[in-house]
Amino acid sequence: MAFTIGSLIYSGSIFSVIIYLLTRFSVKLGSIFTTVLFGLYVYAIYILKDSVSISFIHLPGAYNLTFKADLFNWPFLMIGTIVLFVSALFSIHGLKSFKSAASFNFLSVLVGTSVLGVFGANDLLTLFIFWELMTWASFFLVSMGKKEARSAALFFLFMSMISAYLMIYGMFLVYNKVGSFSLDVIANNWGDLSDIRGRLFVLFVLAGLIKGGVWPVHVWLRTTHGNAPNIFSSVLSGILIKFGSFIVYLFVVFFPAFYLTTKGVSSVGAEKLSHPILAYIGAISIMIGTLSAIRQNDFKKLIAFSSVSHAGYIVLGIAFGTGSAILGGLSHIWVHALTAAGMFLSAAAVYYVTGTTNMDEMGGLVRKMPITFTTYLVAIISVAGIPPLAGFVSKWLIYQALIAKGNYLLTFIAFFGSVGSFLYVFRPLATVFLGQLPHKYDSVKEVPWSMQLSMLIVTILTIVFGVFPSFMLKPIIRIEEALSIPTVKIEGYSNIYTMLTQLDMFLVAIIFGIGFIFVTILFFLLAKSTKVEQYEQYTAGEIVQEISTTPEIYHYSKNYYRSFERVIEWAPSLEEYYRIAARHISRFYDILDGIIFKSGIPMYVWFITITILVLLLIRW
Amino acid sequence: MVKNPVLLIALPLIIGFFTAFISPFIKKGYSIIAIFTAAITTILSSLLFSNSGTDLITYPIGGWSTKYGIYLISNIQISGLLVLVNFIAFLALIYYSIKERDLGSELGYSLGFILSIAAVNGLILTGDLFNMFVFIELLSIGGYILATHKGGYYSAFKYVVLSSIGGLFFLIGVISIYNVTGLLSLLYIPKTESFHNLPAIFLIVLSVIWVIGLSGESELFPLNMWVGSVYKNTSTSAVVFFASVLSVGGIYAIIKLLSLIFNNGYAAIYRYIYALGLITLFIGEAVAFKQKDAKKMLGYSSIAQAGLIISLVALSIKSSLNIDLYSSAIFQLINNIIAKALVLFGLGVIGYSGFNKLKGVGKERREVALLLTIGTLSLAGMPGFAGFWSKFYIVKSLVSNGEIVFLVVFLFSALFEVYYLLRLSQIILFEPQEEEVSLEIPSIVEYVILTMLAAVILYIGFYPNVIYNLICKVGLIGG
Repeated sequence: MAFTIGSLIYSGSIFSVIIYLLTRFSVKLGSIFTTVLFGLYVYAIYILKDSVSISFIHLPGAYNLTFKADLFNWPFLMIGTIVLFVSALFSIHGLKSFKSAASFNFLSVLVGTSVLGVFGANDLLTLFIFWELMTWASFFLVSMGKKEARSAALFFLFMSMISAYLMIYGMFLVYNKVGSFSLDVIANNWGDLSDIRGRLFVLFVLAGLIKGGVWPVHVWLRTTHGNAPNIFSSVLSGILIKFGSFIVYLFVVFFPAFYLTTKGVSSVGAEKLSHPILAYIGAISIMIGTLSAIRQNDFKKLIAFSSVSHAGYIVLGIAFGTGSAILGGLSHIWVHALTAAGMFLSAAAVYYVTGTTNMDEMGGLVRKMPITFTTYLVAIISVAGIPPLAGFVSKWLIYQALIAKGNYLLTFIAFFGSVGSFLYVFRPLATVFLGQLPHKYDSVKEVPWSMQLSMLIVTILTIVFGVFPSFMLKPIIRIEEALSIPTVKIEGYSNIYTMLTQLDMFLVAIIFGIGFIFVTILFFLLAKSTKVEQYEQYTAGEIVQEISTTPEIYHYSKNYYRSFERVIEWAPSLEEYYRIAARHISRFYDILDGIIFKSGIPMYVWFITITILVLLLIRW
Repeated sequence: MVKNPVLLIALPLIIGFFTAFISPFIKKGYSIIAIFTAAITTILSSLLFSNSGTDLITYPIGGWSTKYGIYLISNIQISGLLVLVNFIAFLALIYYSIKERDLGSELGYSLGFILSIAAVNGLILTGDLFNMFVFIELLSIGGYILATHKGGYYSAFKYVVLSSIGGLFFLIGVISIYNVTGLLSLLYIPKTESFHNLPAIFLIVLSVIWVIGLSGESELFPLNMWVGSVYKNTSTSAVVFFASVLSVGGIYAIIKLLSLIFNNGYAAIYRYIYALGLITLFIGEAVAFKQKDAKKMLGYSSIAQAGLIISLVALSIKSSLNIDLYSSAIFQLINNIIAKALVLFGLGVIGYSGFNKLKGVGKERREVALLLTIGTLSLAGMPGFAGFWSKFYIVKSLVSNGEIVFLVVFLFSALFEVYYLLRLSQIILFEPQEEEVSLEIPSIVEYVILTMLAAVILYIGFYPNVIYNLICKVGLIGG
């Protein structure tokens, strides 16, 4: 049976209704069906690996929705469907206490089809339609979250609509010029678009940055990711913000390089593809994301800011323009999709058993939830770019490119982001999983099997892509070769050759493995740890009523990075400026309402008199 | 016989007259007569629609020449709109009959509805200025009655004041043009020598005065201040009439005036009406954004849509008729009235419109809330629903004509529109309940009404070009 994107989307839209009805009947059954559907997606995309599959959905009239799966979008489709599958698997048990599970699954399937539709689009109209589908479906999904989720969803909607409207304008600009929405036609005519190329670039890249959560338009991420339903956060951060990276990739790399390749240019170098301003925006995003993440006390908001920082890496890599940088940027999409999924899923698992994402209130969960802990640990090691995990590979490629071009400022920022990420991702590790277990969690257990399995898949993939990076890099290198971008060479499963040096990840992994075993042996031989009850060590176990202390404030995770925060707390928050702007607009609208509509008949008389006077003035 | 659209106007008027005539003897069942009237006008307009082509056909009345006498005009666009408007009126009357019959005197309000149908049909069909004025006045009378359906007398009073002033403005315009050309026929005025010799400034004032004259009925700035309070204070069936029936009459009358009289490239005049429309669009969306009452909010949204449509039409006659801009405006009109009717019916079925009361009612009335959400998503222009395609065609025609200022104003206001519309759905579906509300159990008929409208929206959402090519892409060019 031949799968096409079109047929997958068809089946998705039919199944969405079936799954809705099934979930009304039984939550578990509905989620299992969703998982099977997304599993089918993963399988279908996997077997489309080496083919070019063109398909369409016929809309009566002039426009058809056209889809394509080929080497240029295959990596995006693959990682997208994997994250969808994993989070659906997680939801089999994860939706147990969820109030609107039926709508959740229904909308999840719509989001799933929109992932296929956006990454698999062969024309801008299709891309735009599925982009908007994703917007309204995820708006409702986010609305299902915590108490503040409603206003967060509206903010998300507002920002998404800005990016959608930038896109729709750009879309018709191209259409007017080349008479088609098709990506191929646009790529082939890219050179003739010189008079509108600047505008197109600004419109689409800005739209991509908004969606991708890059500074200075990242402000929606904190509240949206922080308040969305836990399972959906992983899809939102893992895949949906990658829509933005995809658009940036199309306009920064794909169109220009494809055009030059068809014109017979044999090597498309960085001088054609690099966009310094965009690269610096990516770098600022790394800084801001990292510094803001350190200040968060909420598990999920922390991960949200880490997404800002990692979106920065992706943009920096893509916009820097050399083969190695683009490879690093695009593979970082894979890395971050997996690690974001891993972190948000472990946050969801913690929430599932504790009912909170506030890090102050947790601790010591490692003994209760080893799988969740491992998932989180692997994800953060990958996020921090520490070998031998996938995150190291992509960041290493970006460092290589930056150093090879001698751009030390960007290199410094990229390193800073890595070290910084270690600071902030360590905080949940220490405060949620390590340390003392509060008594209220004495009876918690590890999460059910489906959640464990889905977290394990993410963990294993992160390790596999780290130790054998060719699985992740080969598909992207294929893109670069097809676009005549000079790229790095890869041998076997793990040997990477760049301009500067050579790296065998398998060897690195073995060395790390030996080190790990050695330290473990030492730990068990030498360590003589004492188990201390949480309330034993402070104030000798006494609660001092006179100064109204409570046990909680003595928890060591309280104000974990207070000293660090003190250094950076003077820094203004961009969110605050957005809020002030919104308040002013809102007040202006109030004034309009007050003057025009709330006033009574006497005011109308004034209006009408003024109208007549104006008319008279025009006439005479 | 059925081919002559005059029955669409005459029949409701005759039925209305006889209803009053028999009222001393029959005490109940007037709403059935109203439903019956709307059903017949829907069937008649469908017959007219099936016999229509793209050419504008004139139907003289009383055997007079169309140059001097009274006549009606119709083509596939006009008859298509009539089918839609009469059908929505039919649905509203069914709703009125099962739920709101006892709100006021059944006789009085049934007559008000019948009268409004006659007036709207007349306004859409008429081909001469004097009858247009008559139907505007008739429409106002229908409007006054409907505005008081739930006892909102002060808001009805606002409507009375504003629309009578509008009528006066319109009449001044009619008299001026009659003085100059000696004609009242929409099709013949632009052909006369004297009209061609008129100074540009006269045409500007004439067109602006007409648009202002009709701004009461069509909910345009500046005579639209009644909208919010009337929408809030009247019954569901009446508010559906205002949003999806009466306003269509007003808007289409302006469209006729602009595209029949000023269609030969009077570049000087388009700018004023275009600006008026854009101001209306912006103010409407801005004010709707601030509302805390769903019906009021939708009222201001109607204002904004009227502004958008009139701006597009004004722009389309800038030089000779630009069919892309024109048809996107008509498409927007159609999608807007269907979706708005759906949302307003949905709110009516729920029974509340204040945001604090609406919170969380979707949990108890899930089906109604979901159907209503189809309406809000369509109004917000989301893909999969009809509204997406009208937004699509509007942006397409604006970009291809290089109207970037318009585009920016449109998209900027649309941002807020999407925000407040989806916020309404969010409040209904996801907010936790705050106040105790007592909900009636909806009858099957109400579900049928909502489902029908939702099905139309989804149908257009997936097959946009059926409606677009058939009805919208037809210019009103006088033959």
